[in-house]
Amino acid sequence: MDGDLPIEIAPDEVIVRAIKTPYHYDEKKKRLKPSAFRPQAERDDVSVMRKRHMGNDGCKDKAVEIAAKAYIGLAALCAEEITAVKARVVDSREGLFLGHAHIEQGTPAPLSGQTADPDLIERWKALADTARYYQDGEPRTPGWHGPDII
Amino acid sequence: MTFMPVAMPVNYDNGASITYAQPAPQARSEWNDGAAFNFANLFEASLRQQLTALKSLPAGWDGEGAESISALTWKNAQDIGLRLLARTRLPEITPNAGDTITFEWESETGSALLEIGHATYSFLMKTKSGKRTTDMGPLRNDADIENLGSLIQRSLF
Repeated sequence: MDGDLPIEIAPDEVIVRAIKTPYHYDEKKKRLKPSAFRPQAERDDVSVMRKRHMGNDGCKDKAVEIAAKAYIGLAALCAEEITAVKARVVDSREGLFLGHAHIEQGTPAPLSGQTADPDLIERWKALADTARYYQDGEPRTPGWHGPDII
Repeated sequence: MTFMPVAMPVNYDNGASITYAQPAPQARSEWNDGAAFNFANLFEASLRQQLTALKSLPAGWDGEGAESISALTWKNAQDIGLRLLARTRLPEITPNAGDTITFEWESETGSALLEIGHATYSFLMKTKSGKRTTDMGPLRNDADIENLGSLIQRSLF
């Protein structure tokens, strides 16, 4: 793969989000928490990666590069699953890296210290409930050594 | 008394962990020697321990630039958490990037989330039968929080 990656994201394209804190995963119930898809205050987007370009290894290595020791695993959704919960995924390579994208949710997270509208919380929860989580059994080893991210 | 087998781990600073079946709020049991044992104390200790861990989160704890949890949010969460324990079960506790804390409950019948900030709360509950309940408001009225606790207990447990 190279810079030929189209800007357009196909409905069946696999989109990967790095999970970078144990607070975003419920170990007991084996599920992602809504906070895994909650943007920073006053932003409406979260960073994701396009597996089509980066592959399993690239997604994992980039996640480790960004999050260092905080990284615990990867979560995946298809672009059409993101659209189904009233969000959208857009390529955002400019100034970042090829394969970078954003899930945009249309409504920004509230100001610091303010609580979110329940409709927005519901959208974050829907993304978390839909995403497939892949715990990384070897987070300190370069490359992805788990099952294919789909 | 007989407890339902609901896992209730209580973790200690030394890494040890004990799992209890969680009884109804405020339940008491008796040891063989007749001494009373109040489970509510255990859940209160667990709540305090989970919240205390959030105090020391550095800025950027989520790997993306999250803020630290402020003393104001922390105190609100502790006050409300202790109040809720009188009405319903111990929640999962999650810090959020924008200096708020979320309490989460989940059961076979649905889930509920209560977010607490500097001066407000937000609430979302969905049951598997399709009922959706939402609420938002200022953290002024203790009765609002207690009513939410009772609603969670009735709807999910």
